[in-house]
Amino acid sequence: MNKRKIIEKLMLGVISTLAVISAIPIFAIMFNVYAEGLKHVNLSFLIDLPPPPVGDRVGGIGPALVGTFTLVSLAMVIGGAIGFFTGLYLSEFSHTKLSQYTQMFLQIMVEFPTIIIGLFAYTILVAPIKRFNALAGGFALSIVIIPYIALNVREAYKSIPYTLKEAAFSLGVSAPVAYLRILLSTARRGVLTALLIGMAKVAGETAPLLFTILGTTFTYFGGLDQPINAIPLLIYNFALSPYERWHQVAWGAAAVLLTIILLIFIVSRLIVKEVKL
Amino acid sequence: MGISKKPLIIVIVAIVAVLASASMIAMSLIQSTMTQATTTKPPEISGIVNGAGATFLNPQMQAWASKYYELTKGRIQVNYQSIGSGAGQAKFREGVLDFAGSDPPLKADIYQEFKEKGGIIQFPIIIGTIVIVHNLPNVESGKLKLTGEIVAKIYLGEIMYWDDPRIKELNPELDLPHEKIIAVHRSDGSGTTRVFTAYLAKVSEEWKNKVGSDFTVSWPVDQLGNGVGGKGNEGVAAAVKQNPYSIGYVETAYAYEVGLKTALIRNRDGNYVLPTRETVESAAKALVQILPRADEDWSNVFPDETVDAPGRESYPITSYSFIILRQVYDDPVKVAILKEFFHWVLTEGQKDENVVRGYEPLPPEVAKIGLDGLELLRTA
Repeated sequence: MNKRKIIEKLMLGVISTLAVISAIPIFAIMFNVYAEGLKHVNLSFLIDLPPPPVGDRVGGIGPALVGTFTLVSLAMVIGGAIGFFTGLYLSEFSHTKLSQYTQMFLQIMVEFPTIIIGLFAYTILVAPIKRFNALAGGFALSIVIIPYIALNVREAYKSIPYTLKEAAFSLGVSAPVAYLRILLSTARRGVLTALLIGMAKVAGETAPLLFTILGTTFTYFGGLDQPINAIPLLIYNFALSPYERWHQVAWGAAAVLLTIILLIFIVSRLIVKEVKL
Repeated sequence: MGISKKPLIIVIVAIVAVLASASMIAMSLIQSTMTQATTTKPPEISGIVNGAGATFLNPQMQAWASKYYELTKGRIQVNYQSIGSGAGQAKFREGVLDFAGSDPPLKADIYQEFKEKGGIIQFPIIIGTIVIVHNLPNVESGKLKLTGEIVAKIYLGEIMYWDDPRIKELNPELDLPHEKIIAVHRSDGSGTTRVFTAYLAKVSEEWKNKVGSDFTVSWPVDQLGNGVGGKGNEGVAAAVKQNPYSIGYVETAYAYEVGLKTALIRNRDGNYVLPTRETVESAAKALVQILPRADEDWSNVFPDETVDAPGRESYPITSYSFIILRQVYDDPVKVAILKEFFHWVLTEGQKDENVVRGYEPLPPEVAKIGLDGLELLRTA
């Protein structure tokens, strides 16, 4: 073997190793969370109220789980809708000044510290009604995901071949039908992935919730104008405490949260595979 | 490639919405069956009050709230969230909380502001203690003797080694190594630091003049490179655990749960003490006559006057957690719930079985401050 081939093999080996190493953290995190958390998870863990720090009650994460579902739904209804239509506008009317500026601002918003968004939601939705509430949390999460969804939806629509767009409009249908029925069915994998990634992102957010939903101990759902809990918030509070019981609940909650997020990712991967152009 | 029947996003949104509402309905059903027993009885006040604040108070508040939730079969729900004393006071002031939990009482100007706007009450709800912890490998827990002055000198950077003659003099039976003392302190603003530095300022004139007492201070030992900061009690506890030959101060619950070695500290009367039920009670009782009423200003009393309490048994670094309430609420149900719950906390709640390890109950004389204060609650 000549020198060149040896060097090539060597370098390939090094680079492959590095690629494997870069994937280690995610597996280490998953292994760690499931090793510590899974043993605490069962049906009553998903339903019960969180326990006091000492005593006999094992407790669970019921209110936090319901809260996370509620908040993610709110974020998807508000942020998903706005993000989708913004993305559509950015793609199909990209020549307008408004579109160009909107895109620029959305790119800045992606990098916005989410805690600031939480403070903003506090100022406009918590302080005036004098109560921490679920709607403020859903609103804050919506703002967090709008730029993600908008920019990804834009990519999805941009990827549709121009000839297809021409064909759609040549059918003589109205613009909404062309965009939301014909072209969406082509762009759907991109759009769905955008929505699901956004969903996974907000399911794990803590910072926007710190100043908006307060958290609850005994209430699963008291109304959109009342405090609510969320899994990331519960993990944050319990993990910092000195009590073993709360650490266990936090580990269990982390396993549940990770499962939810992995499920969302798996679903989004499957969708990408199944849709054929 | 045909026209899809419905836009897929709508399907997704619908699925999510159905899932969420189904789980909400399921949960409210579960909850209503759990509270069924009480709703059939003659009408009693039921409802939720929302409070937040001190992180330190959180485990004990959760224990009380859970116990009371069980006792009343879900009739009274006291929701307390740990967001920090400062945030708790600020949010309470903005009117978004029904009550606040706080390690320090309200500052004088904020107290005045509340007083002009319908009145305020603040009262101690539980006692916490700050314990000096160390990581000397060959010294057992509860053996090392220290004085406030020596601790001040360590954090001032004047005593740098464990075998310093001033430490050896107090501990002739211990084999102290010639190792540098790593002084661990809080890196974040903290009520714990406020109380700890108030104690050092009270026992050391030098500390009072050079450093003073606040939620964060500039630690002289840091300038010598022998100081380490930790975020939160858990951060300080971890730093002490990881660094041999370190010293630190934490809320006592953290010392127990993390398994740190504690140091004895000399009280004003010259005895070496650890935080125990007796030493804390002794300190609290010694202070009863200087404590204000619930509707008075506490800012110049606590913690500067309450640390280093007199008494043969007294533990010197004790700290109160406060509950802060408005005197006037719009909602009569809130007034009734707050009165009922805190009355229970100040009486039954102070019994051994309801006090979490690491906290100490209020002596009845101190609990009375809160009980008297609750009488002032009223509706507009």
